[in-house]
Amino acid sequence: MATSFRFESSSAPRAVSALPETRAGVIDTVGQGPAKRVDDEITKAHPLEARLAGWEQSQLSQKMHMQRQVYGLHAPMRAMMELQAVGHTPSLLGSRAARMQRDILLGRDEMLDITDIFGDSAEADIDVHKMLAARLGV
Amino acid sequence: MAPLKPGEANLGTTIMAVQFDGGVVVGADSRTSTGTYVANRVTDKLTKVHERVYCCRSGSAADTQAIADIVSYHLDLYTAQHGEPPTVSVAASLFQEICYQNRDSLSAAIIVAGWDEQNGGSVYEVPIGGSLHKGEFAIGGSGSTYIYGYCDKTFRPGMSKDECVEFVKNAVSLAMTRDGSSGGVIRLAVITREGVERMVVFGDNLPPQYLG
Repeated sequence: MATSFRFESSSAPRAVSALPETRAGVIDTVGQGPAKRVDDEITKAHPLEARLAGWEQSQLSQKMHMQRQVYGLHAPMRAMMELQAVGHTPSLLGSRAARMQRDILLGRDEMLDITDIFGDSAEADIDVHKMLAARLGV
Repeated sequence: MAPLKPGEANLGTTIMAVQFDGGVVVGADSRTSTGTYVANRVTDKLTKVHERVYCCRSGSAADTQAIADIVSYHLDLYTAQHGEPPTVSVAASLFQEICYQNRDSLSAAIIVAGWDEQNGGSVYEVPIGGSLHKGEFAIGGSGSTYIYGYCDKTFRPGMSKDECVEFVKNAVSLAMTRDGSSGGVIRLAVITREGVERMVVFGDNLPPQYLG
C-alpha cells in the first residue's frame, strides 16, 4: 500500500493489503511450465513496460493513499477488506460474471476495455478441469 | 529531474499568474511542441483543479496532465469530506508533495492560483524540483526568462483587476515574441468570488510592440 505519493519504487512489488492473501491454486509444471519464467526476469526492454505491468495495482494504491489522507485509516482499510472479501486476486476458477463484484467495487462496472472485446490471454489458457483436478489431488 | 523522454510533448511555454485584491489573473500561451513540430497551437494550459483553483502547466505535457488529474481527484475527496471548497494553499501543497516525491522522474513546473474565502486571491509556484513559493505574482516556463526584467519593472502591489489583465497580456505577448517554444494565442482566466471568467486574445489583437 502506498504511504506517499511516490509513483514507483525500485524494490520488489509489495502486497497491496496487510490482510493475508490466498493463492489461487497449485502450479502444474508439466501443463503450464514452471512458476518462474526466465523472460519475466530479464530486464524489460523499455522502462515503461514495468510501469504498465503494475498499472492497476499502482493506481489502486494511489487511491487508497488519498483516501487515507482525507478520510482517515478506516476508509482504505474498509475498501481493501471489501476487495479481499470479493476475491482481490482474480480467481482462476472465476468467470467474467463472478468478477463483476470486484469490478463494481473498483468502479469499473460501466467501463469497456479492450480485453472485454478481444478477450484477454489470461482467460484463454484456463482449463477448469485441470484446475479442479490439481486442487482435489485427483 | 528527468529531461523529456524522446517523443514526449513539451509544454515549453510562458505561464503567469498575478494576484489582486479580490482574486487572481492567470495567463498562458498556447503552444505544445514535440521537437520542432507544433503539436497543438491552441492548447489550454490553464487547467481547472477545482471550482476556484486553477493551475498553469509547463514542462512535460503528460506529466503535468497526470499530476493535475491526481490533484483534482484529491480535491474532490477533500470537498466531500470537509463540506467546503479547499483553500489554494491546500491545492498548492498537494502539487508540491507530488512534484517533490517524484522529482527524479518528473519534468513539471506548475503555477497554482485561485481564490478562496479565507485568504482571497493567492498565487503559488511549484518549480521543477518540487519547492513551494508563495508570491504576489509568478511567471514560469521557458518564455518567462525573457520577461523577468519587464515584470519586475512593471508590477506594483495593489493593481486593479483590469491593470492585472493588461499586465499579463503584455508580459505573455512579449515572451511569445522572443521564445520559440511559446506562441499561438494568449489564454487568460480571472478567478474571483463570483466565478471564473475566461478570455482568449488572438494573434491580431496582441498588444503592439517593437517587432524590428
